[in-house]
Amino acid sequence: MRNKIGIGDSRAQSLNLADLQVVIPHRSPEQTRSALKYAASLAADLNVRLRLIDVHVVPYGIPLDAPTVSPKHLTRKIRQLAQESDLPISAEVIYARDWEQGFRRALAPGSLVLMAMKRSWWPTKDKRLAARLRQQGHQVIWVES
Amino acid sequence: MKRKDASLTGGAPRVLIASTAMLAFITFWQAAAVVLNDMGSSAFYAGAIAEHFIGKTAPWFILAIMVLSFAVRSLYIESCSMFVRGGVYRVVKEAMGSVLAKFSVSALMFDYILTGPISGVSAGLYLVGLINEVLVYFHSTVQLPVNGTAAFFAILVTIYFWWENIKGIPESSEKALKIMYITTVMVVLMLVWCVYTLAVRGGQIPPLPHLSNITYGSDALGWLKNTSLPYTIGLIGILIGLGHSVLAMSGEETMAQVYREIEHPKLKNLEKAGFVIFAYSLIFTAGVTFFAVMIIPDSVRGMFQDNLIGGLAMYLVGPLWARIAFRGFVAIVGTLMLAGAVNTSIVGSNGVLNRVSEDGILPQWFRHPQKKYGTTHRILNLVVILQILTIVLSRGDIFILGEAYAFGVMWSFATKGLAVLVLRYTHKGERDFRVPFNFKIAGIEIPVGLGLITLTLVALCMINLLTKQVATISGVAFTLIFFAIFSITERKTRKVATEHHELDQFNLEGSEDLTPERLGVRSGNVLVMVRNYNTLHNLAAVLDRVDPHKKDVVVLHMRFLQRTGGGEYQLTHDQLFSLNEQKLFTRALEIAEKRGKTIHLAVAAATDKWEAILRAAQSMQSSAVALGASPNTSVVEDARLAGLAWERLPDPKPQLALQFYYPTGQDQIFYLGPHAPHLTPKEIDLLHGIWLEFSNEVAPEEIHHHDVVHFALEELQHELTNSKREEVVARLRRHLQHIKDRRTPALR
Repeated sequence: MRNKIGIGDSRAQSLNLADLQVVIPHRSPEQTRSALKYAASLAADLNVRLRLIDVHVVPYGIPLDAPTVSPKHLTRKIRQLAQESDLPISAEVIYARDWEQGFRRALAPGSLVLMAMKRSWWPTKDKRLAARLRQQGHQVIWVES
Repeated sequence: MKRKDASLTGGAPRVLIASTAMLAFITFWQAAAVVLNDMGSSAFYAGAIAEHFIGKTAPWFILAIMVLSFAVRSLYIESCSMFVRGGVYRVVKEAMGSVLAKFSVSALMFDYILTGPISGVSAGLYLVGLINEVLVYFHSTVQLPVNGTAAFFAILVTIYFWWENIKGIPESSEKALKIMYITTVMVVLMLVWCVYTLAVRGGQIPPLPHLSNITYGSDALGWLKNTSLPYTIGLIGILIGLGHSVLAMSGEETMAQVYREIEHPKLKNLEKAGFVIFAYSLIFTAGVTFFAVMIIPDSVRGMFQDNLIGGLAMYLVGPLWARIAFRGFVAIVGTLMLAGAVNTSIVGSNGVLNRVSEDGILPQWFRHPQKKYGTTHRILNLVVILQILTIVLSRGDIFILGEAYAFGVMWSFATKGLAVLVLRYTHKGERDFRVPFNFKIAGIEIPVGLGLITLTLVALCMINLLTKQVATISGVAFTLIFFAIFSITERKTRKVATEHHELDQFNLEGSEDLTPERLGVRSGNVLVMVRNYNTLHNLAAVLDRVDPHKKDVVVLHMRFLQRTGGGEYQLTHDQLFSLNEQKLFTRALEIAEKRGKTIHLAVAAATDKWEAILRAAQSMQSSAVALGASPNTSVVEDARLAGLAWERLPDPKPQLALQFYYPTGQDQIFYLGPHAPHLTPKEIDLLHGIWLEFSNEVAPEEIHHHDVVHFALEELQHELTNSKREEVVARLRRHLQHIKDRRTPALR
């Protein structure tokens, strides 16, 4: 599959921005795989463009643009996950002080967010995040991981 | 986007979106919370350590140190006003060169390394104190060995955070705020309860810090022990007392780290954060020490010198169960805060060593990424090994650790003070903030305030050198070892170090077109065109005026191609984003960070200047384009060319304000496309007069000012379409002639 990953990659240019865009936050490899699998079934008849966002939290005391975790390592990790799917994916690594703040700022207004989360009767951290994103005007769909 | 821009497309990739870190600026409250998390943790041990060395006068010295911390705050604000990323290393290097910078960073490392053990051991002491108290409450004869258990706990905490850092899972900064909420609850509860206790039982103010009142501990005088100086010279006695109390202001260096991320207006907010930090630590740290001396009986206070707040809790009025419960709460808050400080010390050490490694004064070998997690595991291992070694060597003795810790704290403050003082003479330019009390004699500035602060800090360093034997020996040895490693490595790596390490790194994302969605900005943004990193006054002016909550700022650099070659080959990222663009965007980011405002960066290839700029503005849905006025062509000519290019834009053509900024700060605005006119006060008066007259005439009909304008325009249009056209045009000509001299050049 060509035109798949867009981390500083010129191949990303052929993605059609007018198509449906789904944003997947990367929390753990398992959750991301579940979300990508669901996205693949969703995308069967649609021209879906996926944005896989990995927000890396950098603590105060370390400059945001010089994280102590190797950026190449993070890029490679997210790229490998993206390559497991056949869908066109634009993967991004974002450095922020706070995970949610970084993720929210990466979203365009009214984004469609696909989250994988574990089944639970309790209001988990992920469920609360989904609720807050909805309050911000985004659409959130979630799948069980 | 289906529409293609002739000037912006043709090769791939033609547009690059450069993103650096996601800087989300924080409020001064958040900044204060981050600093206080570090600084406030010292309240759990600073007062007790001071009393151990100088007796019951300690609260006054802690109070004096808190006042000194307010002055040191000014020092940090001045250095931050000069360097947005102004930690000790950077400021000392700028002021006094790389040798002293290496010395100061070695002292800072000693400070960071010691923060972990002292915080971990202190947390352990609070927990052990609580457990032993509970055991007594339940009539158990078993008691845990205090120092040994505290040391064991400190090692466990250190290993836990080492593993978290190896995995690259940092603690969220939000936690800093949450911990501060809980701490504030504890502080308020403690203050109220202490005041109530004093009201019920009464209490005595600690003895004033006279020489006759200072009771030196057996280990308080070091090499001055066999001299009469501490007993006869008041100033020396005071300095010794202050020297043993300086831990109360440890952590203030964090102010320099958070400055970069404080929101606009940056410096004002730093001042506010500094004041919050001062007020909070004054009440908490000094308050605890005063209440402890006033409430805990002298006969038993010595038993609580390693967990003063826990002891304070036990001597408040109230039932025993309530006091033990409060002591438990104190232990939980203390453990949270102090364990957080252990993590901060590992993170901070890792950050500093990464920074100096980037600078080529620590071998790159240390930056080797961990295979699975990509973290700098060798630096983390080194830091944690040194911390565990320190805990083992100290055997959990908080006073030995406190002595040693003070060495690192004071020398990093003193070198910073010296550096800021030197910068007053070597970098004479205007600063946004100066430490107060400056005078001029024969045109030479005499910075009295700054000089006094620096003198005090250096004097405290000197007195500590003489009175703290363990700290001096261990601190000097540690500093010299690190200094030697830094110097040798620097000599070896100088040849291979690049000259561009100061530049920011940008993540580049290729894109076919510039759109608000791709850059993550809202429509109506301001497009700032940048070309030369020495002439970014247009960006500075826009950032000074724009409210980032309402309008986004996009910084766009056009890489112009020869027209013949424009569409014949594809540009790679490296071709489009060269060292020049990196310098340009680094400077742009510096300007934005200084103002605490976010910018979005992009670079695009183009062939025709005005066509490319206006097409970029159109596709970005910008409301304004900000440019620097060209020294070669007049802005009127540039505006005319822009107008012609605007006419060639595909429909729907946008309304755009074209803003030209001069280096002097003046600007000139031209409007492209239909736009609401700017009315002069005289025209508004005229309109209002007509409206007033009509509103009386047509009452009770509703009439607004815009109705008057609408009606007048329709009347004018009507006259133009009938026989009066020539007469109207002649009258217009006379009017234009009449107002010719009164035109405002800034508005067209």
